[in-house]
Amino acid sequence: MDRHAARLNRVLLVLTGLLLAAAGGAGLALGLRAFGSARAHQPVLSGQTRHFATAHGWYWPVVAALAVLLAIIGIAWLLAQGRSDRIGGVVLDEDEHTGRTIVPAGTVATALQDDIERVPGVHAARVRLSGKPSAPAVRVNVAYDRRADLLELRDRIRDSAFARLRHTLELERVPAVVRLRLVTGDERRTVE
Amino acid sequence: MTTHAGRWPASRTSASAQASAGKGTAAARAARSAFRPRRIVTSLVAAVLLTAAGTITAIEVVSGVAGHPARLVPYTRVADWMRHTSWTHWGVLAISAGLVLVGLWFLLAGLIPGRPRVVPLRGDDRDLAMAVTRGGFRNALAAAAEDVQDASRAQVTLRRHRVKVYVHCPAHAVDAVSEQVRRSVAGRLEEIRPLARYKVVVKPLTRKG
Repeated sequence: MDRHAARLNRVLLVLTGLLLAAAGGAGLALGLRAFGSARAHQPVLSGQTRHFATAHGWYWPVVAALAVLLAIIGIAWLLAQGRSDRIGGVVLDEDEHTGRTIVPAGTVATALQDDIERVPGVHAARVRLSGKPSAPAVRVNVAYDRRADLLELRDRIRDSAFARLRHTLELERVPAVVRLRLVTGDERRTVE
Repeated sequence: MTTHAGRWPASRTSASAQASAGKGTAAARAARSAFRPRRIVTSLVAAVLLTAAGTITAIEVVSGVAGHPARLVPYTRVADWMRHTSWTHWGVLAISAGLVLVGLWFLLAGLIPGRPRVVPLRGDDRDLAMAVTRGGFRNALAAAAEDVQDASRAQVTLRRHRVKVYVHCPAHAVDAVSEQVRRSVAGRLEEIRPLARYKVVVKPLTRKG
């Protein structure tokens, strides 16, 4: 659920896309006689290529190494999709005299959740902490029902819940992403 | 219809706040990028392809060099076919075209930012990115339309930059109601402050008979 994976995805997608499009494009160009009719009528696997492979001892090891590299990139990419950047706690203050105080992420999340759930019309709030323990970020999913007013909900979350969170954590900035989700949205039309 | 008993007065959205929270600000950029699609499905497909291709090639080559070919793929048959097929063969062309298409798919998925599935809201705080689901957004706008006297059963559809409001009203008051609904919905838009600008179009529906 983190934006880090999103950036990685985009970069790797562009690179993979370029590679595939270039390979396919080269094949099409050859077949459509862009490099001359003689070249187009040569077999895909020409004697020249085979000769090159047998004449150079490094050919197959290099191919194998590239293949292993590709496989490793692919596996790392797959693993990155499942990785989460959740943190277990927040470092409250750190100085030489008092040492460090760590608040468990669950405590922080529950406090913020309770604050948000106190807003009228809010069904449930789910809070997750990510980032670094010294600079946490918050991700909130708020389920509200038709009794809630979108504007009030928004203002109260911003002005009370998050202000309190920043105050409690003694942090000036706590980047937050909030998703407001209407539950029982269709009820309004049928109940009337 | 008691959905918005405690709503703030419209004057709360001051002109200065509107100006300071324009489209190009850090807050707007943060809100937009926080809800962009992450291209997970396409990435999974690409990653699986990459892993499979790399692994199979590596196993084939290493086992072949070692003298005990693994034969995960019918290598001799493929090599044979390639030795007797020219680049102009339709099969080769089709494979090349397929590669180009898949490559373009990945390329576009990586380059195009994509539209969020939710409606990002404009804020003055770049540390707080908020979004509401499309259903919630439509619901709030439909409620604003139904606030108008004589307007009922409002339905809202969302386009990229257009909000279309279908609303039922008595035949004699079509023009007045349409205008009021348009104003009411536009007013609510001002208050909700979505990141994108929307034009409000009202489609009045009169009851037959």
